[in-house]
Order: sequence, then C-alpha cells, then structure tokens
Amino acid sequence: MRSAVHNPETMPAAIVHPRLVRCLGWLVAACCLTLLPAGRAPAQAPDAVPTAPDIRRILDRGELIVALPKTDSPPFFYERDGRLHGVDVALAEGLARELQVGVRFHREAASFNEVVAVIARGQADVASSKLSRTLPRAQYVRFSKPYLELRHALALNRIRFAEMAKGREVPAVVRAFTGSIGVIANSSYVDFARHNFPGARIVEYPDWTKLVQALEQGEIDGAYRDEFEIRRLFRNDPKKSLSLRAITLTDTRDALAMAVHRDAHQLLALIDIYLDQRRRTLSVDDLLGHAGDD
Amino acid sequence: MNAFADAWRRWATRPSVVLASLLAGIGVGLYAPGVAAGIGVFGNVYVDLLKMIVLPFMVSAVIFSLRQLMQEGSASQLIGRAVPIILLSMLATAALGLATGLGMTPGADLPADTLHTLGRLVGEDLERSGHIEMALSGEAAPVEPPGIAAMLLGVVPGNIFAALAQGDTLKALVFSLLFGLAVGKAPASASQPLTQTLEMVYRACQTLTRWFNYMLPPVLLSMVASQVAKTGIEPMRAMLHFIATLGLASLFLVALCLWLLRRASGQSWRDVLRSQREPLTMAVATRNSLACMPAMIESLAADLRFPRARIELLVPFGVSLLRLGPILYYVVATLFIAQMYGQELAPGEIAIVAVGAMLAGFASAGMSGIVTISLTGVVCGHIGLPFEAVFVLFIAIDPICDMFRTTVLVAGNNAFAALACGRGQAT
Repeated sequence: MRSAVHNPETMPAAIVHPRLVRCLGWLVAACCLTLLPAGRAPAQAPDAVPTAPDIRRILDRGELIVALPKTDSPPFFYERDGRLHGVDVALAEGLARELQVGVRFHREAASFNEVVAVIARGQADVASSKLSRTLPRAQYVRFSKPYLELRHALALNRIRFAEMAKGREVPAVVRAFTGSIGVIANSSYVDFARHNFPGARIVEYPDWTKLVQALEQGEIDGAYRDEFEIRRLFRNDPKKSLSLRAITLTDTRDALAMAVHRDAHQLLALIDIYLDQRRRTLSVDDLLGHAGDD
Repeated sequence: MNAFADAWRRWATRPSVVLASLLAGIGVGLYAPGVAAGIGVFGNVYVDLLKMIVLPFMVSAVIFSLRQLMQEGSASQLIGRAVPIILLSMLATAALGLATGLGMTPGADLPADTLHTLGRLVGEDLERSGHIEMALSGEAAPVEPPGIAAMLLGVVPGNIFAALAQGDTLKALVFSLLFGLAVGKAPASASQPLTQTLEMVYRACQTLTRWFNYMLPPVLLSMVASQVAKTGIEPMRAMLHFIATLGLASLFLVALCLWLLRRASGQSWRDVLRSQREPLTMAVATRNSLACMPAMIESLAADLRFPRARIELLVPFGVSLLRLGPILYYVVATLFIAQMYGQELAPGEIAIVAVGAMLAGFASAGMSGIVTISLTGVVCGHIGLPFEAVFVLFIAIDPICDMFRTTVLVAGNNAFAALACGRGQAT
C-alpha cells in the first residue's frame, strides 16, 4: 500500500498545498544541479567513455587539490604578494590546466613527511612540493617519474672537519664519517643520512635556517641536503665559504617526484605522461637562477 | 764602455732606483692594468734568461769548489760548521715568525667587511677553496705518506740527464756534490782539464748574469706592474694585516742577516749594504732564489771578500736546503689561520707549528709558487686547522708574499754562507 503523501496523483488538486509544490520544485532543481558537473566533462572524455574513478573525482569536484608544506621553500613553492609561485606550483597549475579544472593548494602539513600523510589520507589529490622519492614514503603513496634529480651534498664546518680529518684525505673522512650530521626533521634526508652515514650521529632540526645556524656555531660537523640547497647557501651568502665547505656526492640521487594516493593509478599514469611531455628538463643552474631565489 | 757599464749597473741597483721602479710598477699595475699585462712579458723573459743559467752555473760552481776544498782538506770542516748553523738559523726563523705572528695577531678580530670580502674571494674559487665533488662509494686512492723514503727518492737522481732536462735543481745539486767529492779524490793532474772547463762555464754564467742585470729597473717595473694588475688591490687590502705582519718579520730577518754579514765580514755598514743591493733587488724582481745565486756569490766573494771556493759551495747548498723564507711564511700563515678561525693554540700546538714549518721548509726545496704555499696545509693538518679556504686568499696575494720569501731566503743564505765559511780567510 502506498502512502497518499508519496503519491500525489491520487490526491485531489485542492488539498495539495502550494508551499509543498514549491518545496518539490526546489528539490527537483537541486537534483538537476548535482547532476550538472557530468555535463561539464572535458570534450576529450565524453560521457560515453567511462572515466577512471580517481580522475572522475577531480573532474566532478572541478578542482585539483595540491598538497604543499606550510613553510615556503623557494624557488619550489613560496608566497609573494599573497600569491603562490615556484617550480612546483607551476607544475601543479600546468597539470590542472591539462585536466581543465581549477587548482586549490592544501597547505597544512608541517613537514615533508606530513605532506605524504595528507596524500595517504586522501585529503589532497597530488603532492607537488619538492618531495623526495624514498622507500619509506613509497609504502604509503605512489610516486610519479622524477621531474628533477639532485645529487646529495654536505656543507661542512671547516674547523670541525679539519679537527676530525687531522690532515687525512677528504674522501676518506667523508666515507667513514664519524662526526655529527644535521638534517631537517621528518625530511627524506633523515633516511638518507642513516643509510649513507651509518657511523655518524644524526641530529634533526625543525628547519633549514636553524640547521645552518647550528652548523656555523659548530654544534654539528655537517649539514646534509641536496646540492641545490647547499649551492644556494653559498650563493646567497658568499661569506659562508670562509667557515663552511661543500662536498657534493656524485653517486647519490635525490629524485623529486609528484605523489598521489595509492589508489590513483590513472592520475599517476596521466602525471607521468604530463611530466614526459614537458619541453625542458630542470637543472640546478635553472633553479639557482630562478626569480624566487634570493 | 766598461766604465759606463759599471756606472749603469751601480745606478740600476741603487735603493732609490729600485724603490722608484717598484712604485712605478705598482702605479702602472693599478691604473693601467692593460699596459701592465702587456709589459709583463719582459719580466718573464728576464726570469727565463736567468733560469737558463741556473743549472750550468750551479753544477760547475759546486763541482769546481768542492774539488778545490777537498784538495785543501777543508770540506769536512766546512760541513761540520754548516750543519749547526743551518739548524740554528731555522729555529731562530721559526721563533721570529712565532713572535711576530703571536705579537701582531694578524688574523684576530678582522672587521666584518674584511671578512665579507675574504668570503667572497674564497667563494669565487670553489674548486681551490675545498668545495669538492666525490663519490660516496668506492675506495680512496692510496696516498703515499710523505716519509723519509719518499724524500730520499725525491733528491737522488736516477738519471742525471733527465734531472737536468727537467730542471730539477735539487737532484742536480746532489749529483754535483757527489761528483765534486769524487773529482776531489782524483789526482790534481787528472782533474785539472775538467776543473778548467768548469771554471770557464762558471765565469761565462757570471758574465751573462751581469749582462742581464743591466735591465733590472725596467724588469722590476714590468714584473711588479703585471703582478699588481693580476692580483688587484682588493685581496691585498683584505689581507693587509697578514701582508704587514709577514713584511715586518721579513724586514727584521733581513736586517738581522745584514748585521750578521757585517759581523762576519768585518766591513762597514756601507760596504755591506752596497754589496747586498744587487742580490736583494734581484730577489724582489725575480722572486726566484736560484736565479739570484750568481749575484749572491759575487756579492760575498768579490765585494765582501769571503773565500770564493767555500762561498761557491755554500750558496747553492744553502739556497736549496736552507729555506728560511718559506719557514717564516709557514709559521705566520698558520698563526693567521688559527687566529682568523678563533682557535686558541696551546703551547704544544705552537711547538708543532714551529717544527712543522721547519719540516715543510725542507720539503719546499725545489718548489716555487703555489706548490710552496700549499705546504702550509700540511702544517695546518698537524694541528687540525682548515686550510683550503685561506689557500685561495694566499694565492691571490702570493706575488707580494713570494717577494718577501725570496728576499729572506737570499739574505738568509748570504748570512749563512758568510758565517759558515768562517772569518779571516778572505782570499
């Protein structure tokens, strides 16, 4: 038996309240509106062809959510005049353009590892944030092909290092490093340091500025990061060459890649093609000459 | 003609002419660096001309004099006197370097803008200042420890012609000493023709040196001008404290050597100063102690009337082994680095600096220029001081420092030769 209320055809017209008609009208309109985005799907993916769920979700939302850490890291991502700029920002915006959606930056993560967690929890679609591809992180998210490969580098305190070396050859001392090495907490270099310098004492600092300060004051013997950041340190303040020296490790790779949720297979394939199709590959010199680097 | 030539030669080494040439050179280097770079070639040609004579001169002088001393029977007595003087003078030089370096503290409390300039200069030369690229995996190439064995191998010529062809003066000296001893053992009648030939070679070399030295004032001007133009004023200004300290220590040491020369020769100050004008001017102009040898021998044997045979042996011997200039440099440079990095040196470490500098001085025999400076790194390594950054700065100002080193080496060896050959034996 059907309820009279749910079957308006059986009701006399007089007892159908006009307010109820208006409500029903709003309800129908709302239903139509929720279905509308499907009609806005890009021309390349007509409705007739089924879209992968991970891509569909982005298209339906109409924007790509990109995870970035809270703190700026020029020239990769940084805020100027209320707008976000940088190499990673441009990459993410380009990807969104290809998908014909807008872009929204999710900047709540306090560290690079936290960015990985944001992606793993599905709070953002993609991380394009100078993220290093590491094995521990690959347990939670999927990484694209690298868009930039940097070598690892050490900035050493000259005095502390000379005391440690006592005239021995530099490569021999670095390979069997027994001093203290500073890294940014929750960054890929924590893992790299443990792996590459097993004899060293690894000290974590909340950010790069504090790490460099500690190095200059001789609290630690070396700072471990990618060659771009180490070269940038000396480029921005040549005076540091007097107290610090740079050692670039030629047989190491810090591969920067985009990260997506473990289920976003289609998005990952799309990102790989997107990265392949870029006309120019980035180099450290390009980055050092980037406008955002000061 | 001869009178004119002699007058010109005396004029060319007058202190006022030397000073004027020096100042003119600095002026040209600063205000017309293009011209300075162009005229630098004259100086290089001059130094090459002098270097051309070094090997035949040294070999003939040593063999010739040693044969004579052997026949007189005074060779062993001479060596017996020379060794303690060498050790004592090295110790005294190291002590003077320590006293000046610790007293004047050239590297302490440098102003911020000086540090900034120094940092920028270091940063411009990433490769030399110790910024390196290396593979983390793999074994380091085995480095031969600089031991006694390596040093012996470095001084004994496996092939004397190869040593001469490569201009290896230390090996040539060892050969000449041994050869001279052997010739001295031969009967005089057998060795006479060789001795006469060597004497001829020796005299010809002396004459050539005298001819070349007519060009001293313009050469001094062109060399100083090209060095100043190459270095630029900025590194010199930033390293002024160091240059001043080394300069003062050198000046004091040269004065001490002149005083010793006066005591040993019994001549007046005027005569001593006049005799030393030519070798010291050449030291400043050429920055090459070997090239100064003919002038040094002439100043001692002809002007101050020390026994020629002994002087001819002692001067090449001293120039090769008694490296007072580099020793002074190593001490002052190491103290400068320690002070710049704010490292307090314990008394034990200061002693290590002195001994290390003396050993490095020995090791610097036969070296010149940048290789000589790089030995400061060995001294620094012993007490755990970083050297690479400052190395770049030392290279930048080395034309001046090399001038000090060579002048001290030349003056020091003249004093050494005078003391070692003994008084009252003038011929």
